[in-house]
Amino acid sequence: VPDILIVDDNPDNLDLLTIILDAAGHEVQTAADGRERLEAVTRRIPDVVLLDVEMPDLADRKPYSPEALLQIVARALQEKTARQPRRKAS
Amino acid sequence: MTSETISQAVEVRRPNLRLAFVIIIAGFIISVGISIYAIRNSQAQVRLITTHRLSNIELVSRLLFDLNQERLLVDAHIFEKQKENMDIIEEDLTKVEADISAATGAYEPSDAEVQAALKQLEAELSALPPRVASAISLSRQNLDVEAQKKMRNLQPQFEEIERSSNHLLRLNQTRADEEIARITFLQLSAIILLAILTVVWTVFAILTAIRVTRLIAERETWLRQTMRLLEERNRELDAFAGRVAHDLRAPLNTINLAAAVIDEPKVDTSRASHALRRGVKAMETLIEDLLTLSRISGQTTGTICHVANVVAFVRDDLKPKLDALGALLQIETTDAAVSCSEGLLRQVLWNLGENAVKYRRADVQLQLKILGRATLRSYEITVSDNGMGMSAAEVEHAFEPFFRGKQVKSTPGTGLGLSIVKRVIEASGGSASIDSIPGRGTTFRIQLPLAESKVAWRVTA
Repeated sequence: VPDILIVDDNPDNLDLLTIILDAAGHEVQTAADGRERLEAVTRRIPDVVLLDVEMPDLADRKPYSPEALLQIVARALQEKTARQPRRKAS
Repeated sequence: MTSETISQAVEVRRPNLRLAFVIIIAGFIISVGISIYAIRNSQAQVRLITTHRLSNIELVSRLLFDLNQERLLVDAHIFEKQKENMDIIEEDLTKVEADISAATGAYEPSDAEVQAALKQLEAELSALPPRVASAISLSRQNLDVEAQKKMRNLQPQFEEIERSSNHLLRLNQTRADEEIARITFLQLSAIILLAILTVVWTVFAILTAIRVTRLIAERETWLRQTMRLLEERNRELDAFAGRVAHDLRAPLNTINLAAAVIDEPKVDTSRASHALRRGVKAMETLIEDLLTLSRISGQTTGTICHVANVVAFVRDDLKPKLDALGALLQIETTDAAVSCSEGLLRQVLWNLGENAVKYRRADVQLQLKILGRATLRSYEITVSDNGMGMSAAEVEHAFEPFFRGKQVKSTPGTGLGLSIVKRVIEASGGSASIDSIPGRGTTFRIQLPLAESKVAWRVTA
């Protein structure tokens, strides 16, 4: 069963999706908004990322493009994978 | 630019061009009238000269010629010895005398002086035939010397008649000269008057043309501006529709998800039903706000309300919420009639009060102040709080539809509250502005026009 990361700025949506995916037996991680929280996802590398494509960047009011959001997620995951082997080694 | 300012721009000035055109046309008609009058009068004068003066002069010339003829015939009679020839000459003399009386009878005197001269001439002429007749009878008896003597004695009388005739001729000439002078004067004054009128009317027509040209240019500029405004408004409207659709779809997504959860057999559905209700509520609020926004223009035009009434309502509206939070509410307003719909001003103050409640600082007791006072031209209301405040960038966009601040994303709201405030105030002819310090609080400043009665009262006071 694949692990899933959900990125959405609406807390109700996060809750409801988590309930549905939990019931289906997935391991679910959530990130509510912005760069900081997303980059703080460190539990495990998800197999699937569910991404709200119209997340506003709150600093300049412009919604992130899907590409930009994917880049953020990818960078967060990259950093995590870079850290994890080190932890395993030590 | 709002629709109100567009409709205001429509009322461009309309000068009385029709009057200007009427004046120009009247000018040309008057000029033509003067020309016709001058020509007709000249014609009448010319006719007078040709019919009276010239024929009179001709008559006098005929008279003089006849007199000469008479004298020659009398001389011829004196020299003639043959009886039958004398008869022929006498016949001719009778004809000449008849012609003389016909000429004097045909003469038409034009005034008293001419009449007097004519009378004198007639008197002198009437004295002539008997004396000529006596000379002729002497000649018939072949008393030529006596007849000649008789005729010589008549010489001064002939001269007198000639003088009178010449006097009459001169009088006619003078009258004719006077009439010609009158024609010249008439024509000259008509020319001068026409010249003046032409100059005046031409200048007036040129000025009108300049004004019309300028007006057309003005209208064109205005039209272009209006077009640009309308295009801008259309773009804004498109963007607005996009935002509305997006913001309606967001709660719809949540409702969709909630429905999916409720369909799941083995999960706790209480959170789903809460989320569902929240989604419905969010859509309701948004639709409510949109309706308010769309009705603003219609409700505000020409309405007047009293600040004291509105403030009393707002106090009642906000009190329960503020009491529950332990917040302080301070209201200090002087009453005045302002031009704004009562319901909408109430909505404005309620929106601002609710904003203060929503965006309060969690660790500080909320203080909300509503102050109102009349200035010389307008009524100023300030609504201040000691809440989170906004950054300069947020203040800049705060009145735009669907804008929501950085820190307030989690707080429920449609993003239409402040745009409603701005629309209401601007549609009422007022203005709204924001002073805010992040972390200290926000002050909304509203200027509303005083209703006219209030202004009048201030002027007399």
